[in-house]
Amino acid sequence: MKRMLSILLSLVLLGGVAALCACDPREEMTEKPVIYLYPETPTEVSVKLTLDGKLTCTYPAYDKGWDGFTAHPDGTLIVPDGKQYYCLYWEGIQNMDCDFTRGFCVRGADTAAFLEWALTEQGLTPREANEFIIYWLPRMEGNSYNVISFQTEAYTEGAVLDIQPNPDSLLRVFMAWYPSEVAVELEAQSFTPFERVGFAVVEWGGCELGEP
Amino acid sequence: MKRHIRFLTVMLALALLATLTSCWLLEDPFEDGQTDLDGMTLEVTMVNTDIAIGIPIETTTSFPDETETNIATEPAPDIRELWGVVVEYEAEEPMENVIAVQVYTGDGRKTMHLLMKNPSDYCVGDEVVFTYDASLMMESFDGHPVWEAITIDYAPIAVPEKPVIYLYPETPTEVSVKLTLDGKLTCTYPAYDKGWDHFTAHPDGTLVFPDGKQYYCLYWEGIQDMDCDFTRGFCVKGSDTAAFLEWALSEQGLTPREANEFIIYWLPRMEGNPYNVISFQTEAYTEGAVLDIQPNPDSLLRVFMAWYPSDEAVEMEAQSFIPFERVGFAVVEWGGCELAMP
Repeated sequence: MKRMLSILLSLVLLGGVAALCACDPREEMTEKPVIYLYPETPTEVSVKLTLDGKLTCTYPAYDKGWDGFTAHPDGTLIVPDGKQYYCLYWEGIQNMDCDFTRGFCVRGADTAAFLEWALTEQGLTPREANEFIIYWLPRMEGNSYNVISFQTEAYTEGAVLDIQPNPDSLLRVFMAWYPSEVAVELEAQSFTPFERVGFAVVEWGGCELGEP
Repeated sequence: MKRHIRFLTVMLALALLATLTSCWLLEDPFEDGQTDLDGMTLEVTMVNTDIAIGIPIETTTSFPDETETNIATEPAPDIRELWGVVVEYEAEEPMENVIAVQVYTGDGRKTMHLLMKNPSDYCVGDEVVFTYDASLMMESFDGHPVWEAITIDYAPIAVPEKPVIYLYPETPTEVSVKLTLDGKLTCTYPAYDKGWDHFTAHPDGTLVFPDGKQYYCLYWEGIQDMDCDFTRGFCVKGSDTAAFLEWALSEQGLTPREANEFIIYWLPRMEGNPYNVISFQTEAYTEGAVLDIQPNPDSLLRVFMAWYPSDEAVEMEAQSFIPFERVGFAVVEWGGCELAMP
């Protein structure tokens, strides 16, 4: 009897483990990361992005990398075929478990002001912050509340950037958020100050979650 | 031997049961609104699961004289207006007198189910504007929220998205901009109160407002009464869209930077379609979104792309563009709208 019970228990445990593995890991739509590059002098750069997931849209086109383009101090990027861009743009579906232990719950109407503050705190220039806000604001402003958490490793470990030559400073701002009808209590997040020095590379993006 | 086999079979069955149970328990009680790659509709996310059919949901409004602790019996009415397109009503257990409308809200598009007095008057494809009381939600048999339509009417609509306005004066200049929209503004940045007033525009495009904040463009979004004209335009394969836009925007006079921003915004929604049917609008757009800029710019360019996705190629007479001369105090705007139906 004892033996039967222990076998039953192990099988149940096995079943549970199997279930956990069988259930899909969370896949989030990573939206609109744009990457700006600001070298001190015109520099030939190559960027590789290793995504734990799938790229859905890139501009300029990412084949096996964004290779051999020239980055200028004002941010202009000129690719080998002569075309110019002001940033590298990518979008994809990424395996990501967002961490909402700390963050902010912001009223819809306060979102613009909140983002202006949060993005400056994290080190974006007014221009970069402006672009960020214009992209996200229409989808956030109309909600009762927006629950926001800026992701660090949870995001970067699944979207690895390899930039040659190595930048002197790299900033990656990634906002995970979801709309809420009610206020949510959340311990505030603190930001690591960013020093924009030498060859600086800045990325911003985000994802809206269906549900926490 | 037989006994062992029977025993093993029972164990396997139990293990299977355990697996299924765990999967069911671990599953989200809500279905994520999954956006598929073409950027199609999100499913409505249920906010409150404790709803019985026909009973108004509890609201968070508190009444000063409320002494009882039960559910409020008279929630304050919350009348809202939305614009949208009638779509196919699909439900496992369809309710009578209900239609489905894909609506345009501040955060994209959702499908709502409306209970109507005269559902047969409205066909798939009709563009409508309706009002409903958001404090009174019902639940259909298979769990979809249903709202009662208070008023509903036809309305030819478009949702202009993302018009951004750049201003490039030759010297730092104080500027005021008024936008008169035949419709409703839904989002602006910086905030448009009765205008974007008395800001200083710099030659590099930076705009500095009275409160000291700076921006690189004026941004607005709204719902506009607009009849798009598709007599001339282009039918472009999804995969050719980036190259087509590079050409078309340059032809119309956008700088590489402005075109880059435009493309980054629209490309993800267009690239994945078999075809995109595109027509750049002129008066059809501008007469419903009138810009009044003081001082008057020396040159003004407004690029507006109306488009819709198509599974098949569509024959169209090509559109030609008026060359744009960027001189003096130049103002450039770009925006577009995706149509639900041609």
